[in-house]
Amino acid sequence: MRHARPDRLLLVAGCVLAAFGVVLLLDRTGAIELSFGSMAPMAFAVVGAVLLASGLTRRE
Amino acid sequence: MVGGVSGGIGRYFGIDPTLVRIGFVALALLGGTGLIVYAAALLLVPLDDETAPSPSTPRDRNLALGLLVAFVVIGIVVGGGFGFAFGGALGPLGFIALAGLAVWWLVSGERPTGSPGTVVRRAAMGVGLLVGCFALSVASFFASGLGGGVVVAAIVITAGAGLVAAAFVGGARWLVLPALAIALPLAFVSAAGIDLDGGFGERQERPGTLAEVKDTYRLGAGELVIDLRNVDLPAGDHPLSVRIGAGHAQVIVDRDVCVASKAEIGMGAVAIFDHDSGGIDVDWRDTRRASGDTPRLVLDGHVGLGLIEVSHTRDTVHHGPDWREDGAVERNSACVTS
Repeated sequence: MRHARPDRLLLVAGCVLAAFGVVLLLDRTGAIELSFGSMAPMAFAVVGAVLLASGLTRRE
Repeated sequence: MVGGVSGGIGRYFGIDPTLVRIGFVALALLGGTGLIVYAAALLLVPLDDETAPSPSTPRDRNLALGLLVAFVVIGIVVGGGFGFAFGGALGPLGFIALAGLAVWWLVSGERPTGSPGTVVRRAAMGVGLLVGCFALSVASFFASGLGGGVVVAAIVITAGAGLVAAAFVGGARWLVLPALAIALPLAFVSAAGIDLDGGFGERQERPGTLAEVKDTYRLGAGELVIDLRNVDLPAGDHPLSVRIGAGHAQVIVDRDVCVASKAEIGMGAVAIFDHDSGGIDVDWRDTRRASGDTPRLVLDGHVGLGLIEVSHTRDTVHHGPDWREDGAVERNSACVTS
């Protein structure tokens, strides 16, 4: 029996978003303190991961 | 019309060129933006008698994304300028409709083709998605700023898990947009340190005695003015904490009061008399000493988004060292110069 392949873009976007949510939760609970300086590399990493997943999806 | 632009666009998108011409005329009448768009299309779009390239799915998506960005930029630059002056709100509404069309094209893959009814329906779906995401963003921003950040973060995590599940069951990719609409405002609130607790609006505090001066003044969003000129501050240190989530805070003191200050600004500026600093993640430290018989106000400011300033007069908002209309430069002259 052959299973359908998962949507890689949604998969990566979901994982990244969940991880992002965990970081934000840590900030809201006071465990870490976010600033724009630390948020900017994180945002670039999120966008880069989604673009990478999108590119890999198109190659298939 | 000149250059066969309408015919070229109509052929490319598979819609009646008459509709395109009507759109251009409407935009031209609504502030002249149609003329600018038409001029750009004249350079970029194949002429009516040329063969337009066959759109493929990646090309469609890239074009939709480009159109979306272009509509937003044009809408802000042109629609916000003379577009509003001549066309009222109809011009920007036209751009919103076009942006909705591009959004729906981007997230669903359904091109803006077919009958006018189909095009209108897809534009409405896109606008609805934009409006929904905007409402989610606003709700997320205020919920996060008012102390509900933990709940919003939990929703973001749940949304991420939902997207992962959708990846296996064949969910729609447009779900990413509302998930981001919730996450990004929370990220902004967290990065700026915005705390909207403390109320909204304009507030003026004019204590008359030292006993009436509070340790901490707090405002969620708006303008907070703390006028201490009626307070006869004795010699020594007087700590004062000012916290504002978003907006403008101003502390006014007599000229015989020395002011030492520290402030954390998420995004905005701090101006202590003739010294200022602005930008993002501003960490301000200005340690001043006072002579033995001079009172010293020790200000601890925290602003998420906005401006905090200290001055001797209630004047206009700070615009640089020489901001006073009468040309006088305010200085922290009561402090000891070292």
